[in-house]
Amino acid sequence: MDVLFNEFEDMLKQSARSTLEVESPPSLVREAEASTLGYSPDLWKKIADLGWLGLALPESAGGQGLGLSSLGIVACELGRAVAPVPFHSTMTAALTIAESGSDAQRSLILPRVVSGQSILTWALTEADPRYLTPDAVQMQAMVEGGDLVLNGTKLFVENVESAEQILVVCRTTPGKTGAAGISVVLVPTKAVGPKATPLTNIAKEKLSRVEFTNVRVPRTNVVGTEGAGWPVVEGMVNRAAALISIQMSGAARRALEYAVEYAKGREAFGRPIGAFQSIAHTLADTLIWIDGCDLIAYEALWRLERGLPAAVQVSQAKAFCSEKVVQAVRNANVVHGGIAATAELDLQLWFRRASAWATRLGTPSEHRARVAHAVLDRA
Amino acid sequence: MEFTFTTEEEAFRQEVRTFIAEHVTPEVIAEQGGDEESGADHPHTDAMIDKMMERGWVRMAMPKEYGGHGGDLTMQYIVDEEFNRAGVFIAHNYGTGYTTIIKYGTEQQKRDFVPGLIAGKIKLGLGYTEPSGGTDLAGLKSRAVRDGDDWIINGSKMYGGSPESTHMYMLVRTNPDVPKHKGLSVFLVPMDAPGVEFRPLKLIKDRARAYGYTGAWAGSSFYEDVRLPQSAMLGEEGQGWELATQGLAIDRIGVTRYLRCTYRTDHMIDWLRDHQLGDYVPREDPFVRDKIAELWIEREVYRLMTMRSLTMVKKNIPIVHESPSEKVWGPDHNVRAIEAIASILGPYMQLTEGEEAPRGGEFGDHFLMAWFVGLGHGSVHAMRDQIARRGLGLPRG
Ligand SMILES: Cc1cc2nc3c(=O)[nH]c(=O)nc-3n(C[C@H](O)[C@H](O)[C@H](O)COP(=O)(O)OP(=O)(O)OC[C@H]3O[C@@H](n4cnc5c(N)ncnc54)[C@H](O)[C@@H]3O)c2cc1C
Repeated sequence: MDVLFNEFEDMLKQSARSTLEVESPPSLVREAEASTLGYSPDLWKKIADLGWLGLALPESAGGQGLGLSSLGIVACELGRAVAPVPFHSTMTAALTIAESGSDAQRSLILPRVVSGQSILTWALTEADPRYLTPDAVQMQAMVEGGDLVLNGTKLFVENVESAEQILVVCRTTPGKTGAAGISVVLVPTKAVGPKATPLTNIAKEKLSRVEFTNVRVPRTNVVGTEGAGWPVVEGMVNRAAALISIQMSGAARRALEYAVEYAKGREAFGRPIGAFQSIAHTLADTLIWIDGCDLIAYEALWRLERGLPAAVQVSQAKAFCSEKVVQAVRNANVVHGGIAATAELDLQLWFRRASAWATRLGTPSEHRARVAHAVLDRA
Repeated sequence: MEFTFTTEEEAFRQEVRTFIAEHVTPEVIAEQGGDEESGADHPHTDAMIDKMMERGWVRMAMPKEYGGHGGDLTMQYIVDEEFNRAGVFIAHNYGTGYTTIIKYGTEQQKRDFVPGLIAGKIKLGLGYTEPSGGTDLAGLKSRAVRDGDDWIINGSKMYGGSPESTHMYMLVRTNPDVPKHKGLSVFLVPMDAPGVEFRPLKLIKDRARAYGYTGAWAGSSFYEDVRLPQSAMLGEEGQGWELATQGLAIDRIGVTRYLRCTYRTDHMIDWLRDHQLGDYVPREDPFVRDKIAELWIEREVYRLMTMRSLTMVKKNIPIVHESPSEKVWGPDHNVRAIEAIASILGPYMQLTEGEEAPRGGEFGDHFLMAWFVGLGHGSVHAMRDQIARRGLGLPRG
């Protein structure tokens, strides 16, 4: 039992942090938000060159074959910098292909991910926003000979305009409920051209509604077993939720640091506001929460990495991080006072982006329902 | 990172559980809720502790030459965790006494006290708080004045100790002419020394419980011209603040505090899994499910924080804000838990005994004192001050 970083992990964190302090200043985030692409291709290339995209991908694909805890360390630092890169959506899809894809899919896609040439995304959510039940998936893919023909609408798809492939969750057998018939299908964006409409959001990230109208892909594009894809989805969502948890936590810690610095310098009634107990205690609580977010998120990542049962730990992490991170970045705003409401203050980037991340991949009560089932219901 | 215990540690845990299944009898459990006022006997517990001593399981990480077993901290953690969980609190004088006597004591003091503490023959009361206050500890008023080779102590302590205490670990002022926290020293005062008087203090809760954080009693002690030799002083003259803060920092973390702040959540979950109230099945109520999961997650965070400080102690990494953080998170969780339990059980919560009372009335009794866990050993307010200053570098108010 050792819940702290080992030497390698410390080194990884330090090097990611110092790199991003230089390469991903707040000005870069502002530029990316204002750009059509929505991310910084330069930064993306740099992090690919540093090997971060291959950290948790297999060596056969040019990756380093390290686990999710290492990837989590990088995600935490990217979150800390609110770095404008399509890391999360790419890793969510890539890890799923690495875990459940065929050899052909892996060798086609993963090396391009590792080198930074290929951005990926995934499409699960439809009008029903629940993440942890197959009933929320309605989209149909009809089998026609050797092909699948997809029809339906996906919401909240990230980075679809820049992505080369989308991992789409759909139903390949008739029926609207249950896990049976769910498949995960790789859809190349360029080749099939699903129609994307931007969803304007508080993070100013690229989110879209994606309409699939008779989009045709070969059946060999199914990742995992056709019709038995729900476990693949669960694996994907668990990894994605654990990663976004640590990413948010990283962002929240940076927001706290901004607030602490401000509380030391800003004066009211003739003294630094940090000397007022209500400010100091607010920040102390925020530190406790963020430490808690780190611990609980790394536990989930570590268990996923080791192949131990982890669904409950993932839900613990996501429920806790979602709530505490939102409270933490809000506290950072409150300590700053009015200036935090202005676009001028960099802190707003953290507030907007971390708060938006908290809404993704399952609401706190959805995750708590999974935890409640584990602790309350006898098998 | 390594988020699980090793197979060796897990095997050891099994051994401890097997021992508990055999030796933690209903008689032992009944003694945990004994009458502290009269200092009632607990022969079954004593017999069980003798068996544990044979195995080297009591304070196993303490050095061998003073009656410990020079064992590993994680193993000690496992023993303490399993016994606490079974409702038996074996680690009397947990943190402060052992640790500071080993670190600051003379050779003679180590020999005189540590084996006795481990065997439970010596019981220390903690003499910090006074009638004038506890949070501003360095402002205490009890005095020790030199008289030849001796010290003469006058003053009073509040809440610390029980009728079973053999000694008071007493923080007093030995120098009134320096800044307040520099003029303090610790004495190990025998409770039978002439001039010492102990009076029990009844609390709002009526009985001790196997899983209680506190019993039904605390105590006041009064010191009138108590004469002590220099050898009763622990550490150097003027070193009292250092001893007190180190001891308190240890008492704020660790398995005992962790379990004492999480029992309620665990016990409520256990109860919910098998019980209903008339036709109402609380575990099927969406409100209850959401609340319970929230509490469970909080207690998991607390478990991980406890693992963090254990890791830090083992690796000799200085603890900065982590100890006061645990001392805020745990007690606050404890309060949220008991209040959530109250909202789940409704009128059943208020019961402290009888057949209608869930878990024999444990929740009702606990409700009475849960809020206090946030005050003892450094209040949540003082702890947040420490986090702000040490962890975040914020200025003093
Ligand atoms: C059952 C029980 C067992 C106990 N056991 C022991 C023991 O073994 N040994 C021992 O020495 N003591 C013991 N105590 C005493 C306990 O440690 C004190 O009650 C505690 O330290 C608080 O001190 P106080 O009661 O004097 O409250 P005060 O110090 O007067 O504090 C009152 C309130 O003011 C707040 N406050 C004080 N200063 C500040 C500040 N700077 N900023 C913000 N808020 C502040 C406190 O947090 C608290 O909420 C025990 C008490 C009880 C009830």
